[in-house]
Amino acid sequence: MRPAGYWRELGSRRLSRRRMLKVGAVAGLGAASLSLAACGGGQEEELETTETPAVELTPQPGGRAQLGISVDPGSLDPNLSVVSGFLSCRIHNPLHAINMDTQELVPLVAEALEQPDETTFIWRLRRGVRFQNVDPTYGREVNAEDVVYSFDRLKAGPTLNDRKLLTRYSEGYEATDNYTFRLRTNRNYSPALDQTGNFSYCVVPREAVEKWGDLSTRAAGCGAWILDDYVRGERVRLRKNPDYYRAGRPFPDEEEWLIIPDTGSLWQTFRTGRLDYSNVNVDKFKRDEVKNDPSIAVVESPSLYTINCYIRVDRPPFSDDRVREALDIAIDRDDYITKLYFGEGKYNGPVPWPLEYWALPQDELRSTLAYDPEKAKQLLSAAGYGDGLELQAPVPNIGDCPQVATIVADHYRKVGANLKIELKDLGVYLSQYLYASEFDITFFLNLPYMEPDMPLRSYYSQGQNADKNPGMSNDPQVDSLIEGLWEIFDREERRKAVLDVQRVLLKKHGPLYPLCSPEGYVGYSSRIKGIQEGTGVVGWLGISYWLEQS
Amino acid sequence: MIQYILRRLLLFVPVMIGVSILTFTLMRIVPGDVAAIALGQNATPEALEEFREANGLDRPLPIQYLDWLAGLFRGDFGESYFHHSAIRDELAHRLPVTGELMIMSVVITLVLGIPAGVIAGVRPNTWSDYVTRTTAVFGLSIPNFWLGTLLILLPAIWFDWTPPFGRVSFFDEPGKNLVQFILPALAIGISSAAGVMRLVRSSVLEVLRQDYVRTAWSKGLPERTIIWRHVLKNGLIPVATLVGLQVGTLLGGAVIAEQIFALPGMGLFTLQSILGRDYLAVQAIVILAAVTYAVVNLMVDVVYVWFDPRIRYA
Repeated sequence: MRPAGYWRELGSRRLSRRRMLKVGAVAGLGAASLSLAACGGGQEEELETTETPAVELTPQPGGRAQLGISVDPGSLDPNLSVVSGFLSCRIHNPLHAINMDTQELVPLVAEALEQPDETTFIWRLRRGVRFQNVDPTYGREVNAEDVVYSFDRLKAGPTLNDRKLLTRYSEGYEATDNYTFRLRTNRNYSPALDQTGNFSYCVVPREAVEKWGDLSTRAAGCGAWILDDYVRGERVRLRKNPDYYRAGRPFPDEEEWLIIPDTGSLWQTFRTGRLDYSNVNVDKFKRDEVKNDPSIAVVESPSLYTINCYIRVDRPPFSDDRVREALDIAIDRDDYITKLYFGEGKYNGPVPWPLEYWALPQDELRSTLAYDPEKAKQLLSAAGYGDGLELQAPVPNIGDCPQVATIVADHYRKVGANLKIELKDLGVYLSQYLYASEFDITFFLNLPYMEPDMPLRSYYSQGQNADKNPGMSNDPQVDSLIEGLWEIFDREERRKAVLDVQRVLLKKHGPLYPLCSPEGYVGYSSRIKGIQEGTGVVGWLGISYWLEQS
Repeated sequence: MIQYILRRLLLFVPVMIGVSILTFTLMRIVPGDVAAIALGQNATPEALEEFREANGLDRPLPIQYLDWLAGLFRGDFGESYFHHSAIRDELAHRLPVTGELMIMSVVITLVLGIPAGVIAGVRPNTWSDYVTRTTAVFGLSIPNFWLGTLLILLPAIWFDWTPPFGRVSFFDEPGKNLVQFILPALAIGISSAAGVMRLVRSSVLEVLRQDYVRTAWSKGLPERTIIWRHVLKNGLIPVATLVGLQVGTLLGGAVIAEQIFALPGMGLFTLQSILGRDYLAVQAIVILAAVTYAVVNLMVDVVYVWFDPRIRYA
């Protein structure tokens, strides 16, 4: 619950989606074969994967992993903090998770999920799942009342985590017996499955919250890792939970997450071998630096944290369709990728490309969002702005927002639109501009999400609070289309429908102009094996990798 | 002298009250609703109101101020709006880091700056003077963020070595602690040393022209005795002022050095608190900084007397 710090830290956060990119002579990383098997065609062909036969590796227990991050999580409370998922999922577990690569449901605290009808979800808890053997839980078994308590806690907030399921679409939830938890929605709501698999729905013990007030720096969870120590601004220390319900996991004995805010220092510390992992984006210059270093592996890890361009569509100039279309196609997205990501990026649609299962194909996005300054000028002229257009753009002074605004301003200048960038302090920007929708056009980071409903609803329809979206768009057709997605429970059908809705949204050119996201890579030391068997929450559990013992 | 010190200590009280009022007012005037920042876009109007009520932000400003002041006298700085941790605990954790960095920086400043300044002052317009003055110009020109980055980058590239991150206390692992702090202390100390060097040089040049120094030469005293006992002692008065100011500034935190070397000190905490409108944290930090400046200034005044016994305070 630290919005100001959270926004500032976003730029370097990573989605833990992993596919092996072979750089250098790194051999025997079995995860390469795992991920190649898990993913289908297209994207893998672009990677520089070497032809390594699938090698059966035996996990080795033991060892201490030293991991570096540039982001201080601020809070490890899964229900209340939106930043800390990659750590809080190690300590706490939700009922299930969705593997973002395969879209399979991965049972965690629950061993089974039934859906007798479209508005009823029943989780059967796994017997023998225990909270960690630490004060104040002392290894007691997790029961359905704990799930009720955790859901209550999330619902009560306040938190940036998306909890619309509980606050708006839940008819109620209860523990029908010690091992059965039932949730009923008040309407068909298919995102429920994705959202309850999010880290914010982790199961937490009441007695720990009552003792400590919150779980920001202390924890007693049911996850694979026990929190030993969290010192803000310094480190997080975890040790293996010997009673974890997946016997034998995790493999290492300890993890130490060092917080090194400066990405240059973090990269050098990783490169010199002091760390086993760093979340610094390994751009092509850094990859070049380590290409002949067999002790380092680089893994693709695109980030969900992208910068959005919001436009205010309920008043001139963006209330005019022609202006909206003009300024959308006036953005040279290839130039944007070149300048901001050194050429390593892809186009976003309304659902950003890292959410690959739900995102529009790249060739379609490139065609739909093709740069066309001549047409943009014609449209502006037709709309009465042939002599020029002045736009006010308050921009927060965090992350890449100023650079993005500058790049877009440069593109707009070529079509006769003058973007007046006003850099603002983050606190002022949030309260006076973004939340109040006081802008013609602005650039800001998105909130994290791992399923498509949240970006579509938040930015194009109901908004975060179900009252307005930032661009003040009020389009019943769009609302209806997005709500229509909730009726579809078959995953593949829903995917097709989500893609169709995005196509409609792109034609409307607003209230959000999707920009681009970097391709993103992170570095691991070669002693880390078996990196992630899945992605998103599944990857954040920290139960798949092991350390090669020399 | 004792009376002077007591009088200065008594003056702390109105100064601190003035600082507290100014800080409190300025933080409230700065735009940006702390409740909206804390709770984010998801916050309903009811939640915002609840937040304000829970943190006493809905009360009249004079009441908020008096409440805070009363807490201050009890040693209670309040709770962070974002971390829900006691600000006192946060300060207690960060002050030693900043304190150690400050001490090491000052030591480096003095160890590098004073001898260099003396050499330049005693041997004006010689090659040693030119070298030290040129080095001082570089030291003053180089931004400490660049120097700090180089101190990480160059050893990493040349020797495949970086300092160990993950702060340890000096009392637990003194060797590792010193290795962690020496580079940031150098990054800060080098530019300060350059300033001290130039000041010492000009002070030494001035003092060397004094009659008592000429007398000392004519008495046949060794050069070392003249320089270190007579010249330097009188030449260090302005240096005391400069170092005093540096100590006060550093105690507010060296944000850039802390960021580059991952030291959880006061600088980053201050920056985060200001940007997040964590009112109580900022107020506590400012009060602490004001007290530090006042105490350090007093110590500098006392040190003057040691340097020059002719100085007397009424």
